[in-house]
Amino acid sequence: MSVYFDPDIKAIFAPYVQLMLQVSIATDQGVFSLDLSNYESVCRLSQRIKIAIEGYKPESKTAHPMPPRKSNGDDNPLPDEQIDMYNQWLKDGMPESEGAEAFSGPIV
Amino acid sequence: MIRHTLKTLIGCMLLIVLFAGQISAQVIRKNIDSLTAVELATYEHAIQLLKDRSAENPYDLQGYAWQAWVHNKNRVTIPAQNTMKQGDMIPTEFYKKAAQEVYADGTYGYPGMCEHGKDIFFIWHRAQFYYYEQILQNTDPEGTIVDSKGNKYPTKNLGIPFWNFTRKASGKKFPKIFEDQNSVLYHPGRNIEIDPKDTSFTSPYLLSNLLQSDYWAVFGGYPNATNGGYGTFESQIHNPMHDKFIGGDMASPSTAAYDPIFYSFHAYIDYVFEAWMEQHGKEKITSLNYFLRAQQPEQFHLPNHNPGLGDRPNMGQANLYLDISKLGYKYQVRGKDRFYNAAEIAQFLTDSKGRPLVLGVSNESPYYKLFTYGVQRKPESDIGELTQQTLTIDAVNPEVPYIYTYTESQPTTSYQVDIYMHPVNVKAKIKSKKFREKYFVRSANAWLDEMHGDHIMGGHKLNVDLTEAINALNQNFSGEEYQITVNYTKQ
Ligand SMILES: [Cu+2]
Repeated sequence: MSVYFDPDIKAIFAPYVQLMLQVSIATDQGVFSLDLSNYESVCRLSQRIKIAIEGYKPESKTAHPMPPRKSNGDDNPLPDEQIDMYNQWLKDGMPESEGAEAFSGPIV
Repeated sequence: MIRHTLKTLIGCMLLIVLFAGQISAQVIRKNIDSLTAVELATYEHAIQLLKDRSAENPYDLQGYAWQAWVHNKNRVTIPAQNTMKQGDMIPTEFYKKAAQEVYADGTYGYPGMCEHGKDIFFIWHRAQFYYYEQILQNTDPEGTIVDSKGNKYPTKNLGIPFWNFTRKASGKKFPKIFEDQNSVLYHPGRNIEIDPKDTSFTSPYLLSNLLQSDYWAVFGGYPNATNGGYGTFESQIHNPMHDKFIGGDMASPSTAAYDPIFYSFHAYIDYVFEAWMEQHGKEKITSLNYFLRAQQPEQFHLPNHNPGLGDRPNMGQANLYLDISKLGYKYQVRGKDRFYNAAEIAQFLTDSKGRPLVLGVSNESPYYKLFTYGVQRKPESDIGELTQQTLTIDAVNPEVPYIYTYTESQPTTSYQVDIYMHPVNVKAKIKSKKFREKYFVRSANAWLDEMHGDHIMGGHKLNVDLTEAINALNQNFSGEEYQITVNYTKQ
């Protein structure tokens, strides 16, 4: 079963779109908004997203895991299946949808 | 004849302009305690003008509120026409309110977000200060504008004065002027009102010793593109100064720059950065091609400013800010503002009989002495939460440092970890001064915003480099089983 941005990845990130739009992500190409509902935006920042969503794993050293912790302070990682799905999508070359052209812009 | 005179006159004027340009091309950042009365009044005047601007329009990029938001307000809504006025409100309360207001006809602005816990910490703050200083200088260049306190002074040659917080304060706890309630530099809520007995915190020996590290990541922070992580300066000095020593608005990243002491505190930090580069060079500094996020007034962009490919405003790439002569300032340091060199530190790290302090052997660990000498700062004697792990002592290649990662599951506020390394057969007695003195190897502090509700920040991991301590132990205890005991405490 192939994983596509639309609908698979988009659905995973849907609850966090508004929150992440507040943040500016600094990179060596420029400073970007992160629109988790937008294909180009997610592809461009795909490696940073990977670090963040794997941030709750014990071996991670990142200071800021995502999604944010729950308001009672509990861990709030994406379910493992979703993280696996995201990684599979990366491995497959981040296809947008079935038959669509692969992302060719810079990954920052 | 007239033409000739005119030519000479123009020539003279040109020379004067050039000369004046040169003078103001590099302003001097001095120790705030050594400013003349006029210099100090000039600085207060410029800040007052910034506050006056914000009182009329908090969304003015050249006002005090916006400049504070540059430090930690990702996004604000800017109304098409501002109607918010400060009136009788307390300025900081007004700024906080303005930052949260949402306008139906508004557009988004992205003041900024400080970079912490990574290698661009120093240079991001330097860029922020470049703009801040330009704005201050241009508030009233010729001294013709009367501020709301009735003062006017020419601001064109103003440099941000620094606070050398490793030396005894001229006031009770801070430079005198920050404790003067009549000054615009006074800010309520600092620990002076809460913890009056704690009057000194950062030992100059600790700072000088950290400056000796030749490894940029160790001193200045780990690359942003990987996992990031605080450098020693940030976690051992900068963070606890914010959340333990100064307190009040300075205790949280999102309010820190509301307190005017922020600027003098960080001006000194910028001098520390400069000192590291002088000693170790600029070649090792990482992520210099990173763009520095913040929305600043365009007229002060550096000539070679290039915003890159992104859709958000920024201060250009980090490498624009390496050479301070191009940023228009320099530091004047005298006597006690100088750092100790390697020989002086080695001489300092000896016991009462003049023998070098040896980790695990001497009754006082070298790090304990660096950390506590001449200041009230001590490792925590109360037990928060203890974490322990064992390791076999073996040489560590500094190119592949030994990083201990503390994972904080509930990062609701700032926290600190004090780390001890002791033989497995020595029990960790945190409450015993003897134990603390002998086995203390590191303290690190995470400076975090108070978390309530859905906060953007998730959990927190604090990386502490133990390479130096392990290599010191390896001199005498190679192959032995040691225990790392971590005492976690909240502020
Ligand atoms: Cu700071």
